[in-house]
Amino acid sequence: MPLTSQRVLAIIMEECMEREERFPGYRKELVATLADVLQLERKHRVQGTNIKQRVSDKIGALGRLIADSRKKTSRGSGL
Amino acid sequence: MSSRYFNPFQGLDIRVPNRFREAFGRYCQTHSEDGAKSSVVHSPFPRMVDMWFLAACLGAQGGRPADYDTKDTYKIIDASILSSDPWRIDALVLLAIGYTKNVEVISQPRDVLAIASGFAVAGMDRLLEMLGDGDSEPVWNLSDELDRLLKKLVPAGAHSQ
Amino acid sequence: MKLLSARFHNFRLLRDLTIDFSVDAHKKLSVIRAENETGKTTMLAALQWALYGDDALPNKGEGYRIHPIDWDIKRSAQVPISAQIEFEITAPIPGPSGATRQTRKRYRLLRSATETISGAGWRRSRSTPQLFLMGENGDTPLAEPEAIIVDYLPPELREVFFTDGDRALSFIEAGLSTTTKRDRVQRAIRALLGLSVIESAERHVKDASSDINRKARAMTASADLQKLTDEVEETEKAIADLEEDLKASKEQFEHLDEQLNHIDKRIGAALQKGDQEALAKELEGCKRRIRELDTQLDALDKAHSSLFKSASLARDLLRPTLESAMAIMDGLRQQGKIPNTTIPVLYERLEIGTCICGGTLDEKDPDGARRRKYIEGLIEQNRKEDELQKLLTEFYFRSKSFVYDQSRESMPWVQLYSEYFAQRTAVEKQRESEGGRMRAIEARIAALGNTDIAELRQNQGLYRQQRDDANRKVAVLQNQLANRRQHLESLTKRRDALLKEESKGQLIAGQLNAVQDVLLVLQRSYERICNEELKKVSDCMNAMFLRMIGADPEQNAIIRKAEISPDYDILVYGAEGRHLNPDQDLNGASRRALTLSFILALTKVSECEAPNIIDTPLGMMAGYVKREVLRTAIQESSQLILFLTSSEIRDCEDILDQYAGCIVTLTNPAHYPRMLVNPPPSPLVQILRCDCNHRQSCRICERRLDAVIADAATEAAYV
Repeated sequence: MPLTSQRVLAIIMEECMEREERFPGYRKELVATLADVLQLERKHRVQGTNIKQRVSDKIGALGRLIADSRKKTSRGSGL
Repeated sequence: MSSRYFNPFQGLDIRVPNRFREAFGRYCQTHSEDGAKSSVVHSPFPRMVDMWFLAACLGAQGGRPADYDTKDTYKIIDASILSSDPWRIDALVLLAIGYTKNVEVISQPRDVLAIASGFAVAGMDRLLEMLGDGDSEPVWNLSDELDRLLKKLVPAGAHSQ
Repeated sequence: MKLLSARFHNFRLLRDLTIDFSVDAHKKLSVIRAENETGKTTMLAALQWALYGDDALPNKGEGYRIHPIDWDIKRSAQVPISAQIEFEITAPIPGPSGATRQTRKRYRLLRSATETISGAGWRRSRSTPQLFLMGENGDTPLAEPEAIIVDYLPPELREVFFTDGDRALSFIEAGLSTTTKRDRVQRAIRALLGLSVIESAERHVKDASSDINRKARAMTASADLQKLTDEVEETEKAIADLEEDLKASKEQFEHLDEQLNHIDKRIGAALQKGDQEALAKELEGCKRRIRELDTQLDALDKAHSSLFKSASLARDLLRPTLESAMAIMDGLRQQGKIPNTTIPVLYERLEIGTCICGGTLDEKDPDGARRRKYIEGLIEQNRKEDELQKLLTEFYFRSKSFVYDQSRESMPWVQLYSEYFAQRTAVEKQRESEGGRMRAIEARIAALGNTDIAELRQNQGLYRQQRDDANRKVAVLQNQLANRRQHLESLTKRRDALLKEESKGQLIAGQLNAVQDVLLVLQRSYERICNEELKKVSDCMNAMFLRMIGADPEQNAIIRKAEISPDYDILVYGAEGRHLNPDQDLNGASRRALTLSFILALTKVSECEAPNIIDTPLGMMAGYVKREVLRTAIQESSQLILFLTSSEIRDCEDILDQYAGCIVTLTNPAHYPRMLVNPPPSPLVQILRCDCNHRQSCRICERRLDAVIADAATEAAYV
């Protein structure tokens, strides 16, 4: 792992564990999303990228997972 | 006071030998022809009559007036100036009586003045020495010399009875 | 990351030079032994140029010549320049059942550029980096070399990993403002702890949040949801604005606070010298007293003059004569001639008609007539003498009062003079004293220079007011922010509840939850890193620093503690928590030790594996501190590369014996013959390298002092 991201990721991971587990495996997904976002940021520092869109996409993807899990839950409960 | 002693020297002049002209000029504050003010340290005497009178007092120490050529003199001031310090008139008369041993000199102001002038001429050289002697300015040289002299003449504690 | 080797070609004095570095975990130290003007700084610059390009050169490369100064233009006007670094990166890879294994990859980074010499000038082409992954089957070129380098050695950490010993003090040195020093410390910490990345991520995530809110608004949704979404977006924007304002206000507050401290110090310093206004008043008073004393002295001059015309003086000088004259007149008085009473008596007798003898004075009597004629003759005679008698009588009594004056004015002249002298001396003494006082006040006013305390106080008041206003503004903004955040939370809850009811809204709701969580994690991580990691860096720095300088707080050491404050100030404390100024209260060795501790602590806490390359770290050090700094640096660094002079190595030879995996010596042939014993092998102006360690010398590197020492040792052996 590149410089300092080990330590930062460790802290981020701890903080993610404090968040609500919106669905089984959510926290893990949250960690992965954050790791990806930080990676995008580092890359963006060296070469210009469409960072805003990419970050938005990552979050959007996570959000979709949340929405999908809710749908499953509501279907499962017969709503 | 008798009106005669109010101004016995009216009409008379105080004259001094020409050789003292420069000295009177230097040591008197009111000498200067252009009216420039002199400093006390270098010109201790307010007026020429003050210097002349002190010279007469110093000359009296010797007991005899000086002989001098009265033609080789110049007038420093009107003798009437002496009435500004009336005690001086009395002092000069006493000086004349003391010298002549004759009280009748009192009615001869011209003689009184001549005797005083003789003593003044006798005392001038001494006075100039006192002014010039010493490392300081004339006023301090003179003060120190007079102080020394009077301490010898008038022992401590002595006073007019 | 660890450096394996470096090779330089036509980089100033480094015409063709290769250096190897130690990667032995037990011998982490690589030493480049080089005296002054032997290419140390050039090599440091070359390494950084290889990694970061022109931005890493002095003045960002502007006007910085790289090609050798004695390049033969006849050979070619274009000078090919390159710097190559081989490095390895070790990374843990998770294996099955939680085990990890280390992978080691080796890379070769080559940066090239061309400088074209034209007349007295030159022009450099843009430098190009190439990165290769080294493998058994050859080197594989990699795309985006800068991205990889930046990952392992971010440019903002250059000063941390590449340290010029003399410039290392930039984190604490005096000449810089507090704000500049704080900025440097903050930048280093933020870069190494990854804070800037998190901040940037936070910004972009907030942008994503705004987009999602916009999408929520764009949905055909109930009016309530529309309204709520609008309000959420407005509130988020307001919060973002407030956060910006708060940041700006805090910065302004800090700036004003610093200005105020600065003015307070100036006023304090000026007041020590003196208050100009008060001094001016004092001076005026002094001058007034001097004028009064001068007037007294003028009056005393006149009094002195008057002494020479005083009656006392005449009396004292003429005393014998006066007394002699008075004696004559006393005699006359005794004789009855003063005052004259004869005439009245004779007149009386004539009137009575009887003489004093009893005889008649009748005119008809012949004897009487004779006697009458005699008496009339006496009267006539006396009348003539009367004028003189009158004069004498008046004169006698008047001069008696002059000669025997009992009043104060009759005081002996010597006494009058003595009193005058005492009075004059007293006044002159006062005058001299006042004159001295006046000169002293004038000197103090002159020393004040142009410092106008009144103006400073006025500015102080203004700055205080502005600072307090800024502080109030910060408090207000913080309050507003807290309120807004609370409001946002409530709005968000209501909006999410509404969204859940909408099927399309569920996706948006999910995305909003996601962005919320991501943002919260980023914010909390940031806070933790700032608080906890900063504290760790501070504690680590303190431990290293005290070890380096041999300060034991339990043993009443003068320096008790060093720390990094939450405001990113590097602070040092003495006994009883008293603040020590690094510039004034620490010696040169301690200041360097402090800076090196900071750099090493940062590296350690960040858990990053990167080399520490330091040029002359042990300058100004000796004895215990020098050895401990070296030991600590070796222990705490993952790879330590030091440029050391002979004097820095002195007394540390055993440490190098133990921990140095690679030692090379650089020599500048231009030092021959003054400092080098042997002439250089080539006329080219270039740094030469040999493999002599700290206990060796050879034909290339032998220096005159070394020769003297060797001769002395040889002589001693024969004695």
